[in-house]
Amino acid sequence: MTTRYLQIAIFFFCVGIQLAPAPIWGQVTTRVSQANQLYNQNQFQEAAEIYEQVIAEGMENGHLYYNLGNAYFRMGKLAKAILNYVKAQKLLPRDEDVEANLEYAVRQTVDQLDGRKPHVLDSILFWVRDLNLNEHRIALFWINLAFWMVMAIRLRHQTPATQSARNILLAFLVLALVSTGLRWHLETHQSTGVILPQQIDVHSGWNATTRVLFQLHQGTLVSISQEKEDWYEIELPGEKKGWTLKSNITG
Amino acid sequence: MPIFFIWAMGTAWPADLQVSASVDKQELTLEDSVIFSVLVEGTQSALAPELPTLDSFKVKAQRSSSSFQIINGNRSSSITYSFVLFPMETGTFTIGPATVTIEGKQYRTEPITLVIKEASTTVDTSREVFAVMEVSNKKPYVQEQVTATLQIFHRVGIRNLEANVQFQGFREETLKEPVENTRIVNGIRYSSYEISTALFPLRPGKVEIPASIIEFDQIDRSGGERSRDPFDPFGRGSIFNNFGRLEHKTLRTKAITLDVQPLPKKHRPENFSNLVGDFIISARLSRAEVEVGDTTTLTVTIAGQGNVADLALPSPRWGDEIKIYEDQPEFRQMTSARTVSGEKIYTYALVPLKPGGLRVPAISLNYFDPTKGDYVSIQTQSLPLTVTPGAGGSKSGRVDSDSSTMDKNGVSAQKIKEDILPIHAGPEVFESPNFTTGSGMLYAIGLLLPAGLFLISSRTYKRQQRLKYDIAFSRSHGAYKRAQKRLNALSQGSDPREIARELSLNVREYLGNILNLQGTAITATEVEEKMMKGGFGADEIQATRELLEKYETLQYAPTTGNPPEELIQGARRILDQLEKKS
Repeated sequence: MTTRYLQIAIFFFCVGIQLAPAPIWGQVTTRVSQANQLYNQNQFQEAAEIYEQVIAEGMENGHLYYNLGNAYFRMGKLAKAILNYVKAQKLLPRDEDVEANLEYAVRQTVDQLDGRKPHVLDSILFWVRDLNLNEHRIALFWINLAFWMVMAIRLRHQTPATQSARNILLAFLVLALVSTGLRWHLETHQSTGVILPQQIDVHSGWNATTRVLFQLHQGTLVSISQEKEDWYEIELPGEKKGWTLKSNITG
Repeated sequence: MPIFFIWAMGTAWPADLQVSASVDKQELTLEDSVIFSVLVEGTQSALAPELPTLDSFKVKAQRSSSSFQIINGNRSSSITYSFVLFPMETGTFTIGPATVTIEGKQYRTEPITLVIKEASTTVDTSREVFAVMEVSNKKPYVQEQVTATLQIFHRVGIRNLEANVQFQGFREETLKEPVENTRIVNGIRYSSYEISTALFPLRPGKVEIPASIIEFDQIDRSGGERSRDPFDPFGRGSIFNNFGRLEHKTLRTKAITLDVQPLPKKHRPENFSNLVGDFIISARLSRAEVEVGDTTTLTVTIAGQGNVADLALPSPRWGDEIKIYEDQPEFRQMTSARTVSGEKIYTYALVPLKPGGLRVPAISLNYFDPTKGDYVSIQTQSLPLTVTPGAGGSKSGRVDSDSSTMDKNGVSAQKIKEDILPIHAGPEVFESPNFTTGSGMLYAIGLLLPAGLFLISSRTYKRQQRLKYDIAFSRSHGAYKRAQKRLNALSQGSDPREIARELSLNVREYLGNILNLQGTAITATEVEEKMMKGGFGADEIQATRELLEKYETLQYAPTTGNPPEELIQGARRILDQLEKKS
């Protein structure tokens, strides 16, 4: 009886995977290939337009953002290039090409600043940024399934081996839950923005009459900590923070 | 200074309520301020007045004051709201009526006319307190440091000094805390307080430093408190000098217009660093002799006066002989009474890849020198670096494989690329969709389902185990169904005595199962006793006993008056009743 329920669970999981929305991959591949060809023929704007269209249609693919970043970089649109590299890095956190190009693009900016703020838990849960959110969710799913299967097996076989397996899986399950939660928090609550204009003033308050604390230039990556009316509060490494108009930042 | 009042009486208010407005002067200059007071007589509970639109003035509210008097038995009370108006432009202005709401009724004052004149072009040393704003350069270049100094001269005691200074169009750095000096102005000795700010113009064109407003409490001469700290925010002097009278006053400086010059296009280097000021650059190596694959640290320091914080040194590119790993630069800022200076330190971990005598190329930097009005190029010296083959051969492979490393000085570094890497064109990265867990709802169901199924499985398994090992539970489980089945199997056409015997047996067996009793040869009296122990109510016990006694009687009676179906229904009722209670 127990085994039968678990078989049903696996069945539901598989059905869930099958029911997940899947783009029409054939068409998408053709259009992306076309864009790649245009890129290789130095027609960067045309390539970027196709990449943007495919993304607008709902395709979330890190390679696509990476290629779009390259196209914008070649067009001289540094801010948009950096923004797309950041998006690509969220989906492909272990891709060295993405990391290298993002780093290179940041070094082409006037400020050469990567203002993305590390989370306080980053040093403890060091693996959180090495997996994207989807990978975290998949890991959590399988660990959860394995844990409950071991629990089911323990109904009939309460041996030291199953007890150890249960304890180990429980520890992994807790870690997976915390990691997935943190990754979700990072993606939904920690905003990153890129400076769009050539040069902006960063003020001490959300008002143009407040004092200018410092200036930033196009392409600088900043962390957005809060917003008020038409203003964002941005943060940079070294406890530097200030306010600038939302229109100055894309993210 | 004599204070005169213009009293303006409102109309249509009760006899004991009066609202009026007044100013302490009607003619003033742009350097002056005027106190606009609204007096409400007859009550102390009036809300603060609503002022008219005052586009040509800056308004600052002051404390309200109230009074209550009894003179010859006549009571009078009043409250005064005061506002300091700072004129922003010259001309004749009418201050419209202020509105006061008392108990839901509105009262308006009469308009008052003010004449604002240009400020005097010379410093009026006849005044006991005056303020001057000065800038070090009225025609600076963009990003050139300008020092703005606010000086407050006084020859009477002042306290609670508050300066409202605004610098829009500049990045500003406060240079020092206010300092006190003694100055002679037109032969008169003054104490002066100076507040200096370093300004960096952000854009070319005319930029105005608006008039600064300084507020303070002047100590009456008879109070004699010249040595008090005017920046004392807590007014400590008042504790020790109750005899001195404090008079709140305001000052204004003149607005200053700067003509910010753009940086010249002539001679402008292609890779201009945006530095404006005066700088020096230096470089040093932590070790001048290293093995191949080993690390030495190159430290490049740029120091000087100006916007050194804005410096972004281009990444060096020195070919294939040396790999370079760059650290985040450090910045230190120093401020003096008049200038902002600082130094920015860039650190590079150098890993030579070939043995031999190498030279670390010079690093050049250009900046705009406003004193020369031209661009200046400076550079470090080329540094010799001796690279030996090393005992273990080349170690460069170790460095290649790691884009983030630490040198012997603990400097973390990152690899510098020459260009962006090509696009990802492999069809597999687009053809194979990422493994997706679908919608959030589906994922949540998938996550919770194993736990739910486990709980169901666990419950089922425990039930099975109990049925297997718990005899009492096993007997009671299904007892009702078995009893019902036997009732259904009874033939209604049989002998009523036989039916009564079967029913009696069936009920006893059912009771034996749910009460875990051995055998079925229990009397009605025993049934009563066991049912009481089993927690059944008196009604059920009574009904069961009567039914069993009836069946016993019928079994031995020559004839029964009861039809078989009635006997069966009686058994069904009692079984239902007991099943509910069990």
